[in-house]
Amino acid sequence: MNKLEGLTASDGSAVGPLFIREQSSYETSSKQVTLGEVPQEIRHYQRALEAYEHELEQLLIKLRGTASEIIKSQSLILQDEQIKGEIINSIRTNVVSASYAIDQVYELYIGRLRDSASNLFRQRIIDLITIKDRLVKLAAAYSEHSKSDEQADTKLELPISIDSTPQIRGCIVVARDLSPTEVVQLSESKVMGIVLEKGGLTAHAAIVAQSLNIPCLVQIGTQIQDISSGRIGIIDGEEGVLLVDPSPETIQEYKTKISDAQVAKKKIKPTRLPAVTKDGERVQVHANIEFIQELPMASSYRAEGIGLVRTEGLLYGGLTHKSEKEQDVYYRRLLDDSTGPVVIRLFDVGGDKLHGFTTEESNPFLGWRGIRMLLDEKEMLHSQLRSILKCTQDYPDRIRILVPMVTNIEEIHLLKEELSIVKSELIKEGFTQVQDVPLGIMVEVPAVAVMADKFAKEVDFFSIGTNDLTQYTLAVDRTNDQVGRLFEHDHPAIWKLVQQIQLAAQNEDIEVSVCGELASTLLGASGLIGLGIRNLSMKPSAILSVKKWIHAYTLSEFELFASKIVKVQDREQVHQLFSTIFHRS
Amino acid sequence: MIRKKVTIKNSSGLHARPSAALVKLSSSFKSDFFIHMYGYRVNGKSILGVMTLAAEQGAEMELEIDGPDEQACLEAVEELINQKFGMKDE
Repeated sequence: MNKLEGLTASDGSAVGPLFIREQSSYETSSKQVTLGEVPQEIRHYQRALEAYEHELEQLLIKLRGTASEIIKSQSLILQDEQIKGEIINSIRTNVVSASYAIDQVYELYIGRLRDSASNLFRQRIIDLITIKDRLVKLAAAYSEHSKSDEQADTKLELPISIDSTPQIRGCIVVARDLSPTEVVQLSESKVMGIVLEKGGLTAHAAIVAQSLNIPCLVQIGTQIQDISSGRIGIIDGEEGVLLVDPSPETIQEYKTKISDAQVAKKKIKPTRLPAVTKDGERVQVHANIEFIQELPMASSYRAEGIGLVRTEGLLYGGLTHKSEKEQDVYYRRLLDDSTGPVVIRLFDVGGDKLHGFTTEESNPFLGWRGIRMLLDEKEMLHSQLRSILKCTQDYPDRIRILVPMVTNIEEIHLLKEELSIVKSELIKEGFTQVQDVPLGIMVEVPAVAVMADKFAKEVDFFSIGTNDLTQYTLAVDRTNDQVGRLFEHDHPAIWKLVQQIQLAAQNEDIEVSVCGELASTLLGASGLIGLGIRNLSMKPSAILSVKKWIHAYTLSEFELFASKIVKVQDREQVHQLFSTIFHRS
Repeated sequence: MIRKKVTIKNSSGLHARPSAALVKLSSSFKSDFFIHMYGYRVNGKSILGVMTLAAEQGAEMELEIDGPDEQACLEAVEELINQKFGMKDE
C-alpha cells in the first residue's frame, strides 16, 4: 500500500477506483483564414460564447453561496466587453480563426497572472485556462460544422461535456488541476472524490468541492504521476492522505467509517454549535494555524478563535527575517479572516533558520531558539512586536502574544521591557491607539511546569505545548526511529504536570489552554477537560471530531477519568481506563 | 477627467469576486474608467483586465475617470473599495 500526503481541501473520506484524468489538449484549428471567412469566424466566436453561457446557467442551478458567485464571475469574464472587442478585433485585423484569436487574447491575460507573486492570484490561472479551452473547443466545433454543412446557420447541438463519460461514476478522479466548472461536472457524474496534484485550499475547485460535499485532497504532488487508472484508492480526509492499493481489510474499515459518518451527519451537526458537554459545561475549541489558507477550514468548523498562530512560516524560504510590512499584511489577513481571540506566538525557530551559515548545534532542541534567540536578535523581535502592536489599533481586544521556549522568569521581564520600548516608539511615531496585549507563555520546558506557580504571577495566560513538553520530560526525540515509540504524550508524567500547571493557573486566576497534539485526540481532550482545562486548540481538521466527543459525555465522566489517570503507573493503564469509562456498553 | 490614488484594503486583494463587483459597479456609469498600476493601464470595466492586475492587499492604484458622471463614479468606486467590496473574504 502506498500513502501519499496532501492537504484536505474538502472534508470526508472516499473509496473507489482511481481515474487519472489526462490534461485536455487540443490543437487550435488552422490559424489563418481568408478575408471572406472573417465574418463567419466572428459568428463562430459569438455562438461559442452563447453556448458556454448556456452551460454556465445550467451549472448555476445546482450551486449556492460562494460556489455560485464563482460561476457568476466566470460568466462575467465571458461577457467582458474589452475581451470581446480584442478577440473580434484580432480576427479582423490578423485574419485568423476564432479559436486562434481566443487562444491568443486569453493567453495574454493568463501570462500576467503567471507573473504575479501572489499564490492566490496564480490559483486563478486554471479558471482562465478552462474558460479559454472551452471557448476554443466550442468555436472549433462550430467552425467544423460549418465546413461540413453548406447551411452554416443550422442549429448545432452543444458538444457534450468532456467529463460526462460514464466510466468515472464511483471513481476517485485524479487530475493536475481542475476548474470550478469541471468539479461541478464531476459531481454530476457521481464521482466519489477528487485528488489534485496542485491546487490550494482556496482554489475555486476546492471551494466548489466543499459546497458540493465531495471529499477533495490538494497538493498531493508529482508522486501521483506514477499511478495508473483502475487501481483502488482511499481518500482519508482526516489525515489528508491518499492510500493507493489498500488491503481488503483497510477498504472495509473505511467503508464502515464512511457510512457511520453519513449516519452521524444526518443526526446532528455539532460543527455549527459551540462545544458543550452533555450536562452543559462550555469548552472553547480553537484552531492552530500556520498558513492563511487554513483559515477557511477553521471558520467552517466554527473555531471560536485562533489558539495558536505559528509565525515561523513567515521566515521560511527567506534567509533573513521578513520585513515589518510583510508581517503587517499577514497579521491583518489573519484577523480579517477569523473571529474571536487570536494568539500570536513569536517566532519559534532555532538559530539555523536565521543564519543558515552558522555552525550547526549538536542539540538544537536544547539550543539557541525561541525567546533565547529573540532576546539576542532585537531587530527581529522588534519588527514582530511592532507589527503586532500596530494591529491592536484596528483590532482591539483580539490579539494576544505567546512567548515560546521560556525557561526562566527573567526572560519574561526582559521581554516586557522590550514590549514597552516598542510601544513608546510607536506612540512617538503617531500610533497613539496601540493597546497593551495579554502576554502568555508556552509551557513546554519542564522547569516552567514545575515552577508554574511562580510564572502564573508574571503572565496573563499559559498555553501548554504538550509535544515539546513530552519530548523534554520523557527525554525522547520523536523523530528518532530508535526511540520514537517512547514518545507518549499521554504518559502519566505528562498528566501530573498538566494538573500542576492547571492548579497554579487557577490559583492566580489566569487562563490555560492546550495547543499540543494531545488536545486533538479524544483521549487527550477527555483528560484535559477533566483536569479543568476549558480551552483546547488544535489543527482545524480535528475540531469536528473533538466537538462531537465533548457533546457525547458529561463533565463528571471526564473528571472521573482525569482523577484516575494522574494516579496510574503507565500509559497502558491510561488507555485501559479510557476504554472502560468511555465505551461502557 | 479626474485621477485619484486608492489602496486595496480587503485581505485577499482584487481577486475574482471583488473584481466582478468593481466591474459591475463601474459599468453602471457612463464615464470611461481606467486603472493604472504597475505601469499597466487597464479598462476598469473589464473583469479580466482588473483581475489580472493581481492587486493584493495594500496595493496602490490610480483611478482615471473621464465622462459626464465622473464625480459620482469616483465616489461610488472609492466607497466600494473602502468597504472592502462588502463581502466576507474567503
